[in-house]
Amino acid sequence: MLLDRRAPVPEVSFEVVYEEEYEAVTRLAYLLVRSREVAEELTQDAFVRLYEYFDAVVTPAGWLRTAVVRMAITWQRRQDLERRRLAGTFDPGALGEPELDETWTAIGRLRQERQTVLVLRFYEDLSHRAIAELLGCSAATVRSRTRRALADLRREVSR
Amino acid sequence: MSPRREPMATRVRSTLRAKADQVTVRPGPFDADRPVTRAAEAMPLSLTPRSRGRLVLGIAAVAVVAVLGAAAVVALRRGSDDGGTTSTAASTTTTEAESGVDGVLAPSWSPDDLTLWAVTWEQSPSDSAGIGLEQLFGRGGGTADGAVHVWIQYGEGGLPVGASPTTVRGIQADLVPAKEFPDTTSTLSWYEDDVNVSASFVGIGLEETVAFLDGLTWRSDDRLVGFAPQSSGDLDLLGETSPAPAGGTVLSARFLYLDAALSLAPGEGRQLEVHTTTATGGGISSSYLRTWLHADRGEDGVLESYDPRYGTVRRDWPDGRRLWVDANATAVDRATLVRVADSVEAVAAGELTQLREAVRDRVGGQDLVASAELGDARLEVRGTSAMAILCLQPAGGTRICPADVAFGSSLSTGFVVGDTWYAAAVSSGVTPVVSRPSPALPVTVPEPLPGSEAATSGEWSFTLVAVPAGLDTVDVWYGLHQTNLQRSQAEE
Repeated sequence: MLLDRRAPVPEVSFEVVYEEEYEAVTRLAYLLVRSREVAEELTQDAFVRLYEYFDAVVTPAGWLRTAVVRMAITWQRRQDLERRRLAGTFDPGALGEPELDETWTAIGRLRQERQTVLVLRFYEDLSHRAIAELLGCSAATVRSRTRRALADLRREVSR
Repeated sequence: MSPRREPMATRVRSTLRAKADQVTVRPGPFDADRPVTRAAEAMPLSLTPRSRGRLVLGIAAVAVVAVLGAAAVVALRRGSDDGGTTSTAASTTTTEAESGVDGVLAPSWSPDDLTLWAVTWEQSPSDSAGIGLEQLFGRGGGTADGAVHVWIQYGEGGLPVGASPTTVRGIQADLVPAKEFPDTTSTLSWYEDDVNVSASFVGIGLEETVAFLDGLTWRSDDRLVGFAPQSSGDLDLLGETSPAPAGGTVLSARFLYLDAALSLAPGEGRQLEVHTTTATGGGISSSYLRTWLHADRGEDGVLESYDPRYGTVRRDWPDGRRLWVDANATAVDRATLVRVADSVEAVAAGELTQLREAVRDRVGGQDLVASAELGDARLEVRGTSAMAILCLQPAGGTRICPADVAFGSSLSTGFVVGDTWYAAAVSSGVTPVVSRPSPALPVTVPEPLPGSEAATSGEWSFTLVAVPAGLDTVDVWYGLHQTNLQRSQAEE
C-alpha cells in the first residue's frame, strides 16, 4: 500500500493538486536533500510523473510524497562524498537560533537513512508503520533507526 | 496517556519545521513536457502512462528555468553508496575489467588496530567536467595573495535567505560564509542572465573581490563558457574546467578500514575510508580547482588539504589523480591520515585482486546469522548486530561473499556462477522482489522475475533468482523501496 495519511479526494483535478501540494512537497524534499534547487527539481519531477499516471492514482498527496522521498533517496545515493559536502551553496543559511542551527547541522551529519527517518517521523508525522512501508523495512527497524538517530544527535550536540 | 516525548525529539521537530519554513518555495508553471531527471527516470511504474501532451499551469508569474538543475547533473555523476536503507555490495570482478585496473592507487599502510573491510573499484567515463563551469582566478603566489573561485551553472536565482546583501556587477548578490572552510572563505552568489554564479574568495577582501568581479566580461552569449581573463587585472586565470565532458576514463577505488566496533556511524569507533581516483584524458578537475583554494601546494602542483570537522586529508594532482583519507569524524589524528595518504601507491591488478580475496575471506568468516536453501544454492546472512553480508553457496561450489560490508537490514548482491547471473536479496522486513527494470514509479510492487524463489528464516526473508539471459540490470524491491543490481558488478 502506498503511503498516504490523507483521505482520497474524489474528482480532484491535477491543477488543484499542483497548487495545493507543490509547496509542502518541496519543503519535504528540501529537508531530505538540503538544497532548494534540488528539492524543486525533484518536486517538479514528481508532478510530471503524477501527471502521467494521474488517472490511476487514488491518493495524489501520498503518491507525491512517496515519489519525492524515493527520488531523494536515489539522488542521495548517486552523489559522491564530495558533492554531498559541497552541495548547498544556495542553502537558506542559518536560522539564527543557535540550538536549532546546531541541531540542523548535527542532523546533516547522521547517516542518510537516519536523516530520512527523522524527517518522515518528526516533520511528516508518519507512524513507524507508514515509514516502514515507504522505505521497505520493518516497523521495528524504523523504531531502531529513530532511536539511534536521536542517540547520535544527543552525542553530537553535547560535544 | 500520550507517550512521553523526549527533548531531543522535540528539538528535531522544531528544527525541521523551522528549516522547512525558512526555504523559499516559488511554485512555477507546471510543464508536462519538462524533461525529468535521472532520479525520476529510475523509478519504475507498473501502469501505462497517458500521453503527457502539453499542459502548462500558470500558477505563479515566475517561470521556472530548470534547464540543468543540480539534481539532473549530479544524478549523471557516479557516486559511492553511503550505506542507506538498502545496500548493494558490489565490486568489479571480471577478468576483462581486471586487466584495465593496473595502476589503481591503493594504501600500503594502515594503523594496526584497523582492519580492511571493503575493497571496491570501478571504471567510468571521465567526470572532469563539473556542474556548469568553474574558473579559478588568483595570483601565482598562492591563496595568501588572493584567489577567487567562480562557479557558473544554469539556475533560477536561488539565493540564500538571511545572507548579507551586496551588489556585484550591478546585481544584488548575497554574501555567506563558504560551505567549506567558512572561517576563511566567503561566497558571493548572484543570478545573472539565466545562470547562477557563485564566487568564493580567500585571501582577498570583499571590496577587492567585488571590484574584480565587476571588471570581468563574459566570453560569449553562452554564459557557461565563462568569463574572459582580465587583461589588466592582477588576478590571473589559473585554471578552469571543461564545460563539456571530456574523453578519458576514471578509475576509482575505495578501501574501508574499521576497528573492532565495526561501525560506520559518524564518530563511532575508529574508521578510515580511502577513496582514490586516477583519470586519463579528462583535463583539470573541478575538485582540483576547489581544493586549490584551501590547500597547501607541493611540488608538481599537488594539493593537500585537511578538514578537521570530518578528519579528512585530501590530495589532488593536476592530472586528475585524487585521494581522500577520511576518518568520518572518528578519533584518527591528522598525522595518521597523512601517513596513510603517503603510503598510497599504484598497484597492479593482481595485487588489488589479492586484497579483495583477503577481504572476502574476512567477510565470509563472520558468524552465520541466517540461511535459506533456495533451489540448488544456499543464501547466507553473515555478520554482527552492526553489519551484515549476503553470501551465496552454490551446490557443490565454493561460497561467494562480497568484498564489502553493509550496514542495513536489507541487502542485495549479484553473483555470477558459470554463465548464470543470480540476483539475491534478503530483508528483515518485507520479502524482497526482483523484477525487470521499468522506467517509472510503481503504484504496486512489480511482478517478480520468472523462477524467483523465496524462503524465510527467522526474521529474514530471502529471494533468489537466476536472471534471464539478456538482462543486465534488475530492480530489487523492498516494499516500494527500490534499488538495482547490475551484472557488471556481480560477484564471481
